[in-house]
Amino acid sequence: MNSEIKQSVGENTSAVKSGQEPHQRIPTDIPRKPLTKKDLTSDHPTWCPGCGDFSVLASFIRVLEKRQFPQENIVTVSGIGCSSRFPYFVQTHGVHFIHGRALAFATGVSLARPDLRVIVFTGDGDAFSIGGNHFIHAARKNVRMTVITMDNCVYGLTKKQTSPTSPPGYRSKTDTWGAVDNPINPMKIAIAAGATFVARTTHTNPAHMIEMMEAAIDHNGFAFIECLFPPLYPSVTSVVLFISVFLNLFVLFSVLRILCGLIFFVKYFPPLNHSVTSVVS
Amino acid sequence: MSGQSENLMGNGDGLNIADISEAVIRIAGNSQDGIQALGGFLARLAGRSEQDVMTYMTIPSTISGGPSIFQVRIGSGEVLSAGDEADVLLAFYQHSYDNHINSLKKGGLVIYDSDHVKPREDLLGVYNHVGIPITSLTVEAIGGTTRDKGKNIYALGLIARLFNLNTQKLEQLITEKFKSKDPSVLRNALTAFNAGYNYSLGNTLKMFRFARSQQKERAQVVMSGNEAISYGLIAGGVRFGAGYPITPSSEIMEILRAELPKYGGMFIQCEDEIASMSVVLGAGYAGKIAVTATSGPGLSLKMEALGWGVMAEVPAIIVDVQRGGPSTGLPTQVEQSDINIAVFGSHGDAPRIVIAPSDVEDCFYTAIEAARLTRKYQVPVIILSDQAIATRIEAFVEPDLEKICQNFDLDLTPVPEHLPYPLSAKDGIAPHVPPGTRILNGKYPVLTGLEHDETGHPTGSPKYHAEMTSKRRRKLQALAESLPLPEVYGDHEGELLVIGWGSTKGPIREAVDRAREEGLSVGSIHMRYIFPQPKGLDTILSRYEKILVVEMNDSGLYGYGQLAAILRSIYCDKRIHGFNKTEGQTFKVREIYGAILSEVGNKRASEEPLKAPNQSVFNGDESFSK
Repeated sequence: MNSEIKQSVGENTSAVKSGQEPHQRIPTDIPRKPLTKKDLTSDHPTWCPGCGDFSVLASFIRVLEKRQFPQENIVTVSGIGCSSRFPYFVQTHGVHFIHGRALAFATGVSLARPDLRVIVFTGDGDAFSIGGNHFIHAARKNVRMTVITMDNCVYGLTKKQTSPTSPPGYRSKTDTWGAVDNPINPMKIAIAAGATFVARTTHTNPAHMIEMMEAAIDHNGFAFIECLFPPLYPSVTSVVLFISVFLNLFVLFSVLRILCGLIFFVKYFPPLNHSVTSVVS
Repeated sequence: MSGQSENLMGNGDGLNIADISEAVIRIAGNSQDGIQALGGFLARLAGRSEQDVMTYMTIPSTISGGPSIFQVRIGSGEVLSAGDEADVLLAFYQHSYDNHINSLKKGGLVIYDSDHVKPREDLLGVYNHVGIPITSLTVEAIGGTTRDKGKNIYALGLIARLFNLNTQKLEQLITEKFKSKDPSVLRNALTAFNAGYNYSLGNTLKMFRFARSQQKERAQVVMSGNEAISYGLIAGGVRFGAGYPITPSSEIMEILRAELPKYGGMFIQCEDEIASMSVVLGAGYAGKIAVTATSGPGLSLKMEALGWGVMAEVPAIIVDVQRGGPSTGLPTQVEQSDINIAVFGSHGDAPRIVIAPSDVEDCFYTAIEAARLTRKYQVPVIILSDQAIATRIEAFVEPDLEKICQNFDLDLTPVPEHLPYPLSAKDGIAPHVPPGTRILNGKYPVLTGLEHDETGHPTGSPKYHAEMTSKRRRKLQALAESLPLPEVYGDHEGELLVIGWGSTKGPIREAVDRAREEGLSVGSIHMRYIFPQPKGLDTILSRYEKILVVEMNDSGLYGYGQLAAILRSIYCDKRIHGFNKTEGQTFKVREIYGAILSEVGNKRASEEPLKAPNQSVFNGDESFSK
């Protein structure tokens, strides 16, 4: 449990204190060591192998490591979805809120405590379907926060249903003959709603993602980053099949390549001794 | 009417003046006539003159227009309810006259606008009729271009003359009200007021004067329930809020949006009810005590987020100003039918605190109490107000702010380690560590709606779900132990206990008084803590032969109102019965009195007929003439 200091303070809530700024009250005499990747990582992520979320997590930790923000002043907020497991995997103050309302919650945190850096991790369903209204209004109000949407165009946590960013014709459990609705373009919505920082990046370009994250965190207002990556949904068979086929093919091709190489080599570059001997002979 | 000292003073004007101790004035007109403003002036004047006052109003849910009434009861002693029957009726239109003439006491005084109203011949002998062409006189007084705007102020002048009210204070109130508008508005208002005051009511008409009330130790404040809750929240240390406009709670949002910035706080107008609840929880997580105000439909929308607040143990205050339901229901009328959703709403086992203020003064103190409870127990608190308290104006003794003000300062002292959900904590209550607090072992918590272990890490383990569910329950059980028992009004044991909650306190107490005057042994308690309930309530219940729960909601499928059903489920007491009303209007004293008689007074009632209601002092005097 807490220290005695904390408990005594906790009970004495009605004590009127001087109007110091909150962050000034943290004693500076407690030494700080530079934060490393180890300090900043928490649980091991439970995402599917190959998911772009890993790239976002790695980039975010790289940004924290690079910028060395005080750990306690960062609040990660999320709603519901694969992406929204994020706060469990970073060693900062975190909140795992209800589906779609993470932006509203983050609005409360950000406005109540301007000294905190609020970063919202959300998915395409969380941000643009159930939470679409909150997205528009958080952008309109230009509340200071960073919103990172991991857009994989599918509901992954509930196992492959159509999301608002799924392309037409996309086959999912809810659209077995292919999605019919036109997808949302998050960029257009963010700009139309008045977001003051809008960026799009992808998991295949971590350097760009890190650059965008840094710029977004530094932005004094509503900053929105859409991280695009292809849909990947958790199906044990599909993942096993994918891995086994990939490995088998890889092994097969490797063996073939080695064999071909050997044949090629033997055919065109016959052993020196032999040729020499043959020439000599 | 109880003041009977007929002190007929023939003063210089040759007027008759009667001293009275209280009066019920009903003003009936249309909603755009400004009769709420007129009633408000009377109520505020009474409050400033150390009179006790209570008001009651109905507003149509149309956008503009429609019949509306405002009833003011002013008394020199304690005023418990707005009164069943009026002494004076001021009728602006024919429909006002026709619909409200029956609410007048026999022999009461009706002042009607003779431009619009034609009195009924058969009633001329029953009530004292005074016809005044209010509309045309107002136009005459302030000029033809303004049409009939300002006739409410003209009527205020008439009432001021009739009751010998303090014109200086009234003029000051009018000035305060209109000073922010165009100077011509104020000038017209004062002209109309003086014209009304100087209208010759006729030398033979009896005038009235309120007896001086006892000098109170502290000054009085006059406000509505919504105002009292808003200022109570500020006094309670609430510095953050979010809301979405909804009748009848919008006033709280309007006041806090204007007032909180003065105290270093802020109130946010959100995109919807769900967002406002989420914002409040976000601020609560960030270390502030935050409030959202809503009504029934909004409360329904907030339920999922409220459940998160219970699960993640984050403080929040939700003010529910109840109106008739379900769905859009009766937006401008009263009902006490949100107790079930307040106590049981949201899925899963989600215990939270529900408290209900009983009058305007209690609104102020309940708001302070809510802030204290949510901070201490880290659980959302719902304040169940209702439309009747929210809109009525009462006077009460000015609170001692030095003593009662709470201040929750943000504490970000570093802690060596932190468990957000410690199972070993006494009664499961642990202080919240807001973000910004450095945790020296480097293990930072995640507050979550998933079932979690002590660190906040999600777990599906049967052990943790059972233990955490019990932790959230134990907090409220500990609270129940510390709650005070409700005060017993009337007999402490006897034939019948009347249980009420919310805005019904005044009529219940008057009905109990009346029943006791009749020789029945009746007591009453008024529940402030709806959930959890104070421990030991059953000791009070056991002292009575019968128990009657009076509430403004439906008697339900099985014959019990919402509080009655909760009480029966807690105390397994078959003597608990309900008396319900679902008309969208407050209880009248005589209705509750009738229910008391039908419970315990059957034998007596059959022996002696009911006493006729008190006769009005406005009655039986020859001096009343048209």
